[in-house]
Amino acid sequence: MQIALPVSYYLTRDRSRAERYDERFAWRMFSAERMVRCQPVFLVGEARTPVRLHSQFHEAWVTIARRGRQDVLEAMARRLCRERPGQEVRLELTCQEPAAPGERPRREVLEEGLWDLCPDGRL
Amino acid sequence: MRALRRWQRIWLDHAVAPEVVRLFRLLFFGVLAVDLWLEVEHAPRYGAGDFNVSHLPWLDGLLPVLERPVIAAGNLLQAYLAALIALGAGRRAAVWALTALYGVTYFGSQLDSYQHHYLVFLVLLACCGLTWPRGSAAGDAGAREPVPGWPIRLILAQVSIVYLFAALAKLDPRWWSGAVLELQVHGWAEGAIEQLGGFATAARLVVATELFLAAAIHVPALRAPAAALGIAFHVGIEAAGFRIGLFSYFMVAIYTLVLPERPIAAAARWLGERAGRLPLPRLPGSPPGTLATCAAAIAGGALLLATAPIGGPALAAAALAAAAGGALALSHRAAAPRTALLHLAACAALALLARPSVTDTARDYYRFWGGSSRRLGDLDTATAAYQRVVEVAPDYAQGHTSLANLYRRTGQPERALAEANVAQRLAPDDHRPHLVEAMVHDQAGDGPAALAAAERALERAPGDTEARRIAERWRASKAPAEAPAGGAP
Repeated sequence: MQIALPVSYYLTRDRSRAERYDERFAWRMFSAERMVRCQPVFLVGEARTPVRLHSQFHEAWVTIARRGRQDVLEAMARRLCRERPGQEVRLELTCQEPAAPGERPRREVLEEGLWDLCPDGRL
Repeated sequence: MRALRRWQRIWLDHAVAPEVVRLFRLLFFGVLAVDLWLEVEHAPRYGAGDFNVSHLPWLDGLLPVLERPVIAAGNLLQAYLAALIALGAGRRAAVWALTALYGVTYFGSQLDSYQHHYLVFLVLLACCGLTWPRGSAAGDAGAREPVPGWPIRLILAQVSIVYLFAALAKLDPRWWSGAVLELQVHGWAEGAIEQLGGFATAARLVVATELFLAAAIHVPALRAPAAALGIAFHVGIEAAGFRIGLFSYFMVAIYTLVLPERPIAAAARWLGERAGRLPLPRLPGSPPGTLATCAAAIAGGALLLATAPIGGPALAAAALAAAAGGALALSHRAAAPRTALLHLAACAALALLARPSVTDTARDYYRFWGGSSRRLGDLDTATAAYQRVVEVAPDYAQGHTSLANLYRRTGQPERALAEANVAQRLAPDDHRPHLVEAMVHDQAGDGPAALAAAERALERAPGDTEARRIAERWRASKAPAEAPAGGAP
């Protein structure tokens, strides 16, 4: 089991970028993914009003969300949906990874806020 | 069949000198006790905003949201159990209780995402199978039989898995080039790495070291160099200033299981012989000792309560520690006085750790609670928490400044000014208490006082936009008043 758990990270990480940033139980100390910095923006309602995350969630959760942790982003979305019944909640997520010398840091839009997360609470 | 027998021999025929197990117990559980006490300051983030995500999704449906008081009391109780085990009391029952509690607090929330805390849980799980040798860390007379070593093998196998996957994670061009390492190293270590040949060389050396250690800790002939290299590696990581909690300290403690046994056994025996001659205080508890044991248990709890100033959670933890200490001592009558004495020592060690002059944990517990409550809009709770900050740490200027600002925001200008004055006295170069004072006067419409305080803030921080805004506004309103045809501001 202790070998299977970290191996499962390598088997699933290419399914989505967000899963790649979840390195728990994979013993990836000091990895490049640890240095990723994401900008999550939740947009609420038809007007797509951005949510001020710090006023809704403890800053420790915001820090984890900025590391692109999918579980936490989905839980935040579910919470926002619960608090605003009948309104859409969308997520825009842009992440930047460190680069090797001579390369430009890779900035990638992982979520474009294309769909409402409320029906199933999944990214 | 042969392979199976060999496999069984590796796990079941392995035995470890009791002195090594005692030294590991003292260091590993000692570091754990310190770590758990330090974790108390993070308790306020648990349950804040009624939000939580556990490490295991199915736990979210089973467990209630772990709240601040439960986590604070739980961490304190676990710190007590770890200290008790480190000192040689409690044995298997205490290890099982500690492992269960640690598992609940770790897996209960992703707020604790330290990978080494997961490793600590796995080591604790292996320790549940250890047969603890009798006697103290110094090595009491008797009980010198080797300890069945399969749990130790399990711990070292887990450490190898960690090293192996940590190395695998670094087989990435960004690590290989040194870029990722460079992002994480600051201060003096940057210069040291440049001297070593640069970040790319250091990054590759890290991978080579991890791969070597993963294998060498299991090879008897390589144990001494592996232990020396492993300890130096983790001391180096700690000295380089990585923000990884007490990971390096845990690893150094685990390396006692890799060190050659003979010198440790000889040193423990030497110490044991001398410690045996010391006139150690003994509880007048045998036989029957029930009264003395109970008194010691309660005294330990009271000591914990008196010196860990975190209110209700400390009361709960102290009561549970007193009950646990008493129960452990009374469950084994022959060792009751010794267990009661060690319970007292564990409580005293934690009480010492909790002193504001030793750690800032109690102060930061209230500071983080106040800060998160303020950001989430609960100003009354934030004010109450900051009142405790200045009680616990009256010389902490930032606490007075934050409290002054909360008084200002909740319409208590006189109290705000009093706290701002204390902060100005404690930190004469800090502009923030002067800015808070300026904001209080500004809100009250006292222009001259607001201008004077804002100018003092600007002297200390010329770029502060809020101080400049207040100063400019009152200067502007003062100018026409001073002019011959001027009016009131």
